[in-house]
Amino acid sequence: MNGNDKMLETYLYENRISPPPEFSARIDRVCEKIRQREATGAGARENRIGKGRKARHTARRILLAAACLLIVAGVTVMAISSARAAVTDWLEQYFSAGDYLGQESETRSAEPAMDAIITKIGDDGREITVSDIYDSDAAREMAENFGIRLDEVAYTGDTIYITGWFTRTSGKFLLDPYTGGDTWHEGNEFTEGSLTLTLPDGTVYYGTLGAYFDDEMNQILGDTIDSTQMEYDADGNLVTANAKADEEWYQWLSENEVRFIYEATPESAVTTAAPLTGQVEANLSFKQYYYDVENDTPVVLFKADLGTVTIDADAYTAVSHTSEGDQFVTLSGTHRLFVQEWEYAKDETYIHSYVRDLDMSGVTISVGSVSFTPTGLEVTLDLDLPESWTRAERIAAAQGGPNGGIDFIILIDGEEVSHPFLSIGSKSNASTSNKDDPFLTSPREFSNSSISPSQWDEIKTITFIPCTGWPGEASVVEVGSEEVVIEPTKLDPGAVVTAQVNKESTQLSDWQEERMDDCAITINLDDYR
Amino acid sequence: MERLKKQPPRPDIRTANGFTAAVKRIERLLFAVSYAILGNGDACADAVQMALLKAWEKRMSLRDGAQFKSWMVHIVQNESRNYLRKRPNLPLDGDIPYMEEDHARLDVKQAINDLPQKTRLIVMLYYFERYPVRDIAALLDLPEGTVHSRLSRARDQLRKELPDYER
Repeated sequence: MNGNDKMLETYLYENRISPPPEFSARIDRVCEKIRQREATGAGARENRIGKGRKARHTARRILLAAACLLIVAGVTVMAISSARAAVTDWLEQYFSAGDYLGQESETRSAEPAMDAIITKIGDDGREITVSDIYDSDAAREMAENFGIRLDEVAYTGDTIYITGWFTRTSGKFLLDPYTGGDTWHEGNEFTEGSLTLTLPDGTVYYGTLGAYFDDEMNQILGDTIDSTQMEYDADGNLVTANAKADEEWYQWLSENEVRFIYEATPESAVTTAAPLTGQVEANLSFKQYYYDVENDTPVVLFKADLGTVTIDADAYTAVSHTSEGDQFVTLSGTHRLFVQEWEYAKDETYIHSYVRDLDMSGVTISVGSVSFTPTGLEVTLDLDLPESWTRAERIAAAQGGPNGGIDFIILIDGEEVSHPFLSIGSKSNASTSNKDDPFLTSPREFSNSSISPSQWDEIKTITFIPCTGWPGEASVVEVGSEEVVIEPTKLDPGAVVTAQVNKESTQLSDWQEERMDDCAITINLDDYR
Repeated sequence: MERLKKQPPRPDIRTANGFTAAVKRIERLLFAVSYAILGNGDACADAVQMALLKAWEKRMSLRDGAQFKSWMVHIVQNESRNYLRKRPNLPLDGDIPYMEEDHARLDVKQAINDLPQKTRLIVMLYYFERYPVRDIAALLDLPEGTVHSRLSRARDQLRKELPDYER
């Protein structure tokens, strides 16, 4: 390397692109979520599912859980301690709109509120126009083999759901990601497919396209997921990553079609699109492709225009009902709060972890709104935080969940339930990074209910018990090497453990929790129906 | 606070603690992989989050724990491409000047954005994360010569776009 190169190397390193501090914090939260899922959440959920019906389409649940994490604007609140693992399993089903629509209407237990927003498409005679076929025999065969039947469409205020079946073997691309299987022979890559909805005003809806796994499919999945039988053609190209799975799937496809669920949201990830109204006629199109890794570009194998789908966007609002709340509770006493405070220095960012014993008598929690929707109940609680606290303390309190703060244990008709809402987040406009924002209020929205609308109809009360959680110990390890930089340190008041963001990671353990049962807020749902 | 260094054993990724420890070891790598495709730091967090959840659910299918790093790179690349396909108009950090107050860093972001996508990651790993060419080649399943040649072409382009480096 000459001197000129050395200068360039130094310049690039000194001005390198590093993960923003929020990236590291997000990874920490996902890791914490995974640890808690293993410790409590997954087990509790399985209990709830398993009681009433066979575990099925696990793969879709994974996607759903992942999607739920993404839509939470603030910090997902998760069960903190083993105390929360005392889950009642009197609710035998685990509801979600996607799961409900995934099941065929003849086989699912009816949810009248959901059925009110679902429109049957039921078109066996839909005209499909295939175009842009890639110049190869395999692509032409794929295009000729393509078939789709649409079943139902529903709109839930932000998401459009479409269900149906890929006919013949054209749905196999939805199965391969789970077991491994056929590859696109020329590119050694799995074949992928996507649906796109285009509204008359040009708005494009993209989404997740997944297969609905029934019991028989889950059996095949279980039998073949761990068998890797790679096969290559004479030119050394990978033909399949799992020959056994291919055999089983093709056998199944000879008698069945792949039922799919498409969950689509507006293209923009940044801005919130206005809710749809009226009867919206959207154009639906499909694209089959593979991703050419070497040339770093998707290669279209063929496109298919599937015609239009009419979405009844008014049905959702017609059967939804929102009321403002008028209840509130003021916390009392001194409670321990866990704080992670960011320090933005010129060249580095630090995160200081510590606990504080705070007088919480200035904290007010009020019911902002209660909504009954076709997908279940949604509740917003407003947190008003004391000016006497530091800004870092207020932010920590508002974030809740894995970062400590004020969290809530939820009782349904007096019984503790672990995950009645899959999304818990802040809709606050307050900014954690803008120092001029005092951050005195923070709404906490509980949505994406895992309890079905008809179950909510039977429920009389929902209770939110405030609690705080904090780690008893913290240690610091170096990112990339996992070398221990600071040994586990007791986090008593006064102790501060500091890590350099992006270079070091704070690991928290020995979580403890304190409930404020005397400050519980109970909502009598009949008052809001 | 006493600071010390000791090397722990390779984590068992089948357990949550092992999986998350292994992820934290390669956190910067995963960011680089995603950024090379998306060019947007905020979007990287979304894509990597989705990749981690998928990887966690599929971890049992990885027979050789030593392959964890390259396995994760592949999953993050796929998720990042999926993310981009759903948001083709995703703004690049380098095109949003107010996001970066430091002119040199903004210049570097723009210069990296201007590189061919398949070269971006190689440059980020080599210059930002200090990976040896041999490791980059192994990680991305490329011949070492290809890595060298792409770095060489990238150097020529970066010298033109970043004249300040000589000052």
